[in-house]
Amino acid sequence: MRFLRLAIIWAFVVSCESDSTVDLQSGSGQAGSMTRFAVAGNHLYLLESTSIKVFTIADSTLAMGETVYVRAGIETIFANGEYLYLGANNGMYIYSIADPARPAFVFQYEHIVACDPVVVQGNRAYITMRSGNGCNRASNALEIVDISDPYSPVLIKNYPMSSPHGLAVDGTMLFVCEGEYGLKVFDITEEQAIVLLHSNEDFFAYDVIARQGDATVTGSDGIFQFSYRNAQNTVSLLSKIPVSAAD
Amino acid sequence: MAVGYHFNTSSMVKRTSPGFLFLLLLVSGCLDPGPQFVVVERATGYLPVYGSPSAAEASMSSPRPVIQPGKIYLYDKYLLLNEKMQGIHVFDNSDPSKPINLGFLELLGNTDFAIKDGVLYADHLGDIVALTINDFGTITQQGRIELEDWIQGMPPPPGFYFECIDPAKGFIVNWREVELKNPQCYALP
Repeated sequence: MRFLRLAIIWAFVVSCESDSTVDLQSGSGQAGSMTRFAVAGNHLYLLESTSIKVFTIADSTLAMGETVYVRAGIETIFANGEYLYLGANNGMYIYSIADPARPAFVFQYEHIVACDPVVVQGNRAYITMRSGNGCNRASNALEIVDISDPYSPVLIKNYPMSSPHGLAVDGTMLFVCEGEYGLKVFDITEEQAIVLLHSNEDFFAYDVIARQGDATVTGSDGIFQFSYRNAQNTVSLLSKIPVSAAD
Repeated sequence: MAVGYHFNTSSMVKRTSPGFLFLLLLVSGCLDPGPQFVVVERATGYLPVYGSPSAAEASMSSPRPVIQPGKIYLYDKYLLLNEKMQGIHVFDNSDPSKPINLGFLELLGNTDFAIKDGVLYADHLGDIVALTINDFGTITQQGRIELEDWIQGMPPPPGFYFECIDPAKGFIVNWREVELKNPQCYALP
């Protein structure tokens, strides 16, 4: 009996781990959070201005499938496991891709009007909200949301930010691009009290990818790469690809 | 991201009922109608540069400087960086402390992309294309499908007058600074 229980826990742990690395194993790469393209399995999900468009991409071919209407104001898409997470200007939308050819609406997590991407790790969604240049009603914030039950997401905590744009999460580290306020890196081990580990205000930070100890950040004057280690909580600059002035 | 355009709508306003205007304000989501269009005789502004699909085959060319960085993507040992509306910079990122600029994938109108199993899927002047990357030596097109509802072209520079857009002329891939006479369109800052 005890062995069986252990085996069940083990199976659960294994399935979680394979979820978080599914994209790398399936032969696709990794995008920043500000993207309208998402790959899951043999499908490409494109976020058009009001809908999700599904393409089959098996064996180097490209075939158009269904178009699923969402609404205007959808901006970013993130695929994780059996779900798509859409960042929209009125919240986060969750769609199931249990049937990968037909994304099915699951839930709309609402917040005030803002510009915002979303990234997911395990059963947590990280959403940034930024007051847009259209209607300045929104606040600047980061929200950590429990999505264990995608049909009923629960806010864990809202943290005020300065001007959050793109974001990335890897293990215990969360990277937030704060626009003119640069890059901020947080230790998110304690969700009720995340800790600022590193802040770099030297450049305008727009979007970030964090993968295998290397964080790639797009800024207005360069593409910056930082090395980071979850265990030591250190962040150091590796390189900068400069941006040239237009002629 | 929301981009505000401001068109010279004074002639339209005269012919429209206040009730309809109120409805418009409600629909647009902002009760503040914003600044009024200011008519000027001359102004420094921008002219749209339209891209034509026939002159826009995807191909690799030599490295070029990064001017307007867009989306980033990591695939295998590569760091890919979109040059807004122009294509994709390809870097060998085997050593992230020394990324090497390998070349530029010319892809007019491109804003976003993803790669799976050596095939790049990207938007290209309002279409989606599938391109075999072959380690970014030669690029081979595998397929092309027209997108109906894709975000069209590059927005005008905010805070300037511009020559109004004519969608019949195609997809806007750039803006050129010029002296405009009696401009009718203005991009909100």
